Amino acid sequence: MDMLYQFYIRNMEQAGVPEAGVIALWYILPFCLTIAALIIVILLMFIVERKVILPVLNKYKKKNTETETEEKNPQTADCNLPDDSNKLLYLSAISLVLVPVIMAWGMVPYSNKYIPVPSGVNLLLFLSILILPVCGILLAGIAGRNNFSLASSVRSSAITISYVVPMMISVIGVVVLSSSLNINEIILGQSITAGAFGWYVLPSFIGFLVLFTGIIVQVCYVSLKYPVVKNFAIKSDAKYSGIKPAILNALEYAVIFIMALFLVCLFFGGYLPPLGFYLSEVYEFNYSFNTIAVYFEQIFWLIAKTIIVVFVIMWVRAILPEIRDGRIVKFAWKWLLPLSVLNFCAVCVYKYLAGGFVA
Amino acid sequence: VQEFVGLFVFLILAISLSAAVFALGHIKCRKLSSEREDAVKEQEQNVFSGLKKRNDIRFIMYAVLFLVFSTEAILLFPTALSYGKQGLYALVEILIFSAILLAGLIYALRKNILRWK
Repeated sequence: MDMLYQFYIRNMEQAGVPEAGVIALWYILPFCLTIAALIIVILLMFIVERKVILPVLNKYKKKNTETETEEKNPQTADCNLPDDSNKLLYLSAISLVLVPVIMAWGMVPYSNKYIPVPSGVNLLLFLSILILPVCGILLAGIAGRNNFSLASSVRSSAITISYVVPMMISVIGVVVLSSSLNINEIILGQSITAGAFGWYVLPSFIGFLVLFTGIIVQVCYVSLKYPVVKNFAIKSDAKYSGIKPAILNALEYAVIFIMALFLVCLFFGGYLPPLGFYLSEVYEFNYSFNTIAVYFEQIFWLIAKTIIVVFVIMWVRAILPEIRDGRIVKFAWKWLLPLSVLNFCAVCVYKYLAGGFVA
Repeated sequence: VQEFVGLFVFLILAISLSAAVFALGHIKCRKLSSEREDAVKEQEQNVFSGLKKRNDIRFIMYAVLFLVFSTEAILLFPTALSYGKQGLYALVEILIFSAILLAGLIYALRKNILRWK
């Protein structure tokens, strides 16, 4: 961050901007970049899913399935806040989904020097922020003043909290391997000259499987695609109208992308190149060009890996059958939690045998 | 402290962004005609029977399980952080801890708390 900061300060001084403005802009600029990236990604993923994946699926679908009967929402006005429900709960339900997603987008190291929200304990903050949208969905159910919306929001939050526990414990395996709670240091811990063989997906493969399953379930069954939640919590409850359900629908894609980024950072080496060396370092043009080109290459590798993971997630999401919520929850407690604990023990034993001890 | 300035600025900006979106949606909107609004209200009042309605006990069970195991996950984080500086002692401790954790889970499963009627 220091090099980038000095570069920024020098250029701003030459442009003649006052000092207070320079510092304020330094903190505001990452937010604007994050929001811009978020909007671009949501638009792209929306186009890809609606225009590319769904037509292909519909071609192979049986004709007589009646799953896609979208009812027209009877009430489309945005301005009438409900009289009987608590207005603070009503509005904070959507904010509790929107704000954590934006915050999570700011915590990923996009390259070695660019992290929008620099913090020493990125990973811990990320995991704690991951749970907040549950409160949002629960509050939406309560503020909707509707039996169906309340029941379905309770169900979806039961699914979420069951899958959060195995996900957290499988992440602990990575913490053991890297001895750090900073995502940037975790990524740097995976850098060896052999490239892809240093990634943490090899020593904690079970942890990767558990985290990936958790992400799939979070994205497919808890999001609004899940028919129970989709029809009852938001849509049939006419009180959420206008921009609010639109935000929730758009954030689905943002959640898929941030989860894929998180998975890539922890298990697939984040911005590290898979071959072990940077392509921009092979040809030496001149020094100042190469130092900048490395950062752009890091962003390129991160995005490339993430797009592969996002593709797999959307693929699974399109073809996964609907499972009863009781069975989903049971699967989490009965199989994923013991597996994640097993992964934790296995990683500890691996680290002991590999001799990664300091003292 | 300087490290968290960026975090708080980011948080405040995110909250203000969501507030701005709702305010814009509130200002630029299409109002319902009053009789339509009354019809919607009437339709909704039949549906809600209050927050004190009885719900299935298994949701409480999920909540209790979540509380127990997330607490254990939180305890595992500092262990995992300092594991690199400890020796065989820490490894044995971790294995015993995990065994107790799994034993608790097996007890919960044998008690059939994840049943579905």
